[in-house]
Amino acid sequence: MPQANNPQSSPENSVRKFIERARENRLEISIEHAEEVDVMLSDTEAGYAAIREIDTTGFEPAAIFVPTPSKRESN
Amino acid sequence: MSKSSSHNNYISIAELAPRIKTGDISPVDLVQSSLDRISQLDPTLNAFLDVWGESSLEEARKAEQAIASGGYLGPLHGIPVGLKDLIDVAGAETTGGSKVLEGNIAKSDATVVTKLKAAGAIMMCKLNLVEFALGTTGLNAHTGAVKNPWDTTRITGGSSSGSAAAVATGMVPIALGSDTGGSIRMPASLCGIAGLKPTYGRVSRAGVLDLSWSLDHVGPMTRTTEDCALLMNVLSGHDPLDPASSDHDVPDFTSSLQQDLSGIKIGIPADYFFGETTDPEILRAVRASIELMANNGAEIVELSMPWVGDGRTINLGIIRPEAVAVHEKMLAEHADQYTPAVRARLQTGYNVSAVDYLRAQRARQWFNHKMAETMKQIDVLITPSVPIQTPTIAACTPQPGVFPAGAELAMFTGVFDVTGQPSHSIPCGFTEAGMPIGMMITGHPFDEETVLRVGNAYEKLTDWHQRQPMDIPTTN
Repeated sequence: MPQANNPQSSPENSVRKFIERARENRLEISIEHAEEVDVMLSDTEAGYAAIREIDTTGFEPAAIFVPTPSKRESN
Repeated sequence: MSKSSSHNNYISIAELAPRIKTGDISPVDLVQSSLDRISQLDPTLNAFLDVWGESSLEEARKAEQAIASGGYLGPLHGIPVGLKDLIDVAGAETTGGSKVLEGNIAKSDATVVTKLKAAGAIMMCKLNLVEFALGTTGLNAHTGAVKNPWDTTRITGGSSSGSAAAVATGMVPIALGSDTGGSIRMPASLCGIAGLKPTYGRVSRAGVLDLSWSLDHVGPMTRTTEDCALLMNVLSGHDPLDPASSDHDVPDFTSSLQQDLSGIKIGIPADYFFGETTDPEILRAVRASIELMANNGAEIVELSMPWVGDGRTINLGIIRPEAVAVHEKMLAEHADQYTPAVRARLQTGYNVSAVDYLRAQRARQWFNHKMAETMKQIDVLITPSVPIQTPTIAACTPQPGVFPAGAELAMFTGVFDVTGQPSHSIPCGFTEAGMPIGMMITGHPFDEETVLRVGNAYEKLTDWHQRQPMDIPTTN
């Protein structure tokens, strides 16, 4: 089915989904704001799609968490 | 009138300092000269958000007395400094260029301010910026656009827009900026000054508003590389108040400046930076600079880096979710007080899954590994700082249905925020339209010395950094 005929991917649907997503994140957002963001979302999605395509097979990343050094004050 | 009062606006700190030490130049005259120039030019350029005239003059008088009494503290003693308005000064407002933080009075000094004060520098002003440093063009719908002093219809680049314009025009001799995707180096390039993004962790971020904590850097913006080195001597060092602060040894950053380019291996990436998307005039200027350095002792190494184009994508992939996490509470409470452009940029972060953020961080480490392997062959990489000529303010202003110009500005700079390498932009020519062109020198982590050595050696061979914007329209 051509994407333009798919009601799931209409601009209105995209904005509504964004408003719901924002609400899940405790952010109330107006339709006007959501429309402003919506025009940037395809760009954002394209960026993450490109990151997903980066082949890091065989690359072992270093640990992200490093404990903060500490000791007893008396020491 | 006191000695040398009106001729000091374009003298570097390296030249000013010995004359201040001997009493030939008075810090009071220096501050007054800056204040006069601000009064003359800033109504046109809009680089300043706050200027502390009286307190600066008072500090200058104290510095003058201390120096006369034999208490000279070093090259920054009596030098006025401009601060991007996301850096805290106790008792002063830090707004981040946003209505959201109006009335936000800092309780204490940022660590960089503490260090500058201890070195005798005078905190003179807060400088305009892109709201919360989230943007590349330098436009801010709340505080107004900063105008490029070389052509006031054009952007300065951002986000350290006010810092660049103020230094380029001699309104302040030195300023601090911050860099998450290129916010020191882009405006430095577009305004024709030097700007150094130090190694991540080299300069404390404590007391500086976060944008994206794993990418934020604070660094100097000056008219010469030597002045960057003098500032780095004061700003660098471990700070327990910044969890990312490094305890790596701090050298004397000026110690390598006497050396020329002999034996320096310069890497030139065949991919991306010198590709078809880079403006031909910029390519010509940077290639001519490389040739000049090759003729003066540097060895040129052509490099294949086909993966390097992923750098800016990874940079944005991390900034978006980290920035929205930083702003979550303020966005929930004050969304309507953000400018529409920055609010929209922040809100895109809400659509990013945790998995995608972690993929971006994993890709960052992969990218850093590739960069470190490539850097083994060379001392520094040389690239253009930005790929496009300086757009006009009108072309960058968001309008319904039109994608604003300037989105490509951070394509090159963002790469080195991802890797955390020291990266320095200096002037290397001018376009036919008379706008500055910047060249970026990027080195090994914690090897700012070599980066500064190469920048300083290049400046000794050329005079691009000595040129000054003329004929700036004044309103008084």
